[in-house]
Amino acid sequence: MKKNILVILRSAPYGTSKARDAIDLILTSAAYDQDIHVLFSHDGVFQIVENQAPQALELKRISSLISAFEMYDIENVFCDSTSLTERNISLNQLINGIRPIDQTEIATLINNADTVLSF
Amino acid sequence: MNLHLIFSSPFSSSSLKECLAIIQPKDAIVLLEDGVYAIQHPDLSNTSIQFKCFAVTADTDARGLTKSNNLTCITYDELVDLTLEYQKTISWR
Amino acid sequence: MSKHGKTFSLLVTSPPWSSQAHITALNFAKSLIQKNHHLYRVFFYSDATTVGINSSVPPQDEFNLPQAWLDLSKQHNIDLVICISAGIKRGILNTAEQDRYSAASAPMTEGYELSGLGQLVDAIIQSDRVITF
Repeated sequence: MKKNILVILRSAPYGTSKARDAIDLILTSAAYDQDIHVLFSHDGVFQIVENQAPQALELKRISSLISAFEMYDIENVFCDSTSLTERNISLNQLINGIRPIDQTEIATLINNADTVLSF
Repeated sequence: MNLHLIFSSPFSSSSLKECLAIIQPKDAIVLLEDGVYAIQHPDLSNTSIQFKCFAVTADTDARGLTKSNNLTCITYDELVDLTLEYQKTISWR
Repeated sequence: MSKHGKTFSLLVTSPPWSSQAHITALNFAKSLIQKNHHLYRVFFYSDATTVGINSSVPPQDEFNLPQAWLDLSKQHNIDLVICISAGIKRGILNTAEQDRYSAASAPMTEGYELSGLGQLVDAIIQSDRVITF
């Protein structure tokens, strides 16, 4: 059975494990052939900015994990454009493959989902 | 059609604000745990709110909060009913 | 399982003692069972996995949270799953994992199952409602 699962990533990367926890779940869901939709919003948009270099923290680079979504056929990856504006992040600072959407499109995304998980 | 669970106090967490940014008129909010402090928050006393608001009695009682006219206090049994009345539940911790 | 009941699964991600999440989740679980719904699985992820440590000694005059999950599970045959990747890094291992990694001990409480995120995905697929605490 295929369910429409929306995962909302609202937390900044590295300071807590929430980004990693969400990403691990997203990848597992894809392996189970589910219809995954991913939304980066609020501080979650910090996960998709480029030039992350976490080597000194001995942590995996979050943006690289997200860039690999494509390889797992996870194509419905979005970010909240309002969250970008609030944080002064321009589109050309983002990694590839993330589509900015507005509040109306977010409402549609949520309404279409069977299950929503928020990290 | 969506039920939103708020667990954190809006005076120290942005969870309520984040929820209100995407909530729709037919949705509802349930305040639980420290989220019940939102009873006293301006964002929920706004009379133009269209969505329904609930608070779990066990949590309001624990914290000595007086009921508000804006929302309905519910038991855990009633919370279970709400999760089925609405299409799905979204947690904002 | 009642014919009219719905199927629920619960996801718990917060730690047992420093947050109220497990208390709320337990109360919700008891209510849904009492209303003749089916609790398919409780999945413990991230710091919530520490509820499965067998050497926890709660204060004598306070609520025994870990025991409450076990009692509920035994009484109603509920699947309590601890995420294996999140659990083992926090030291929650069963004897199989202790052998696999030549670890010092296997402190996971009897009655939990140590398993992968696939069990959470399965719970999402099988359940009418998935509630995160």
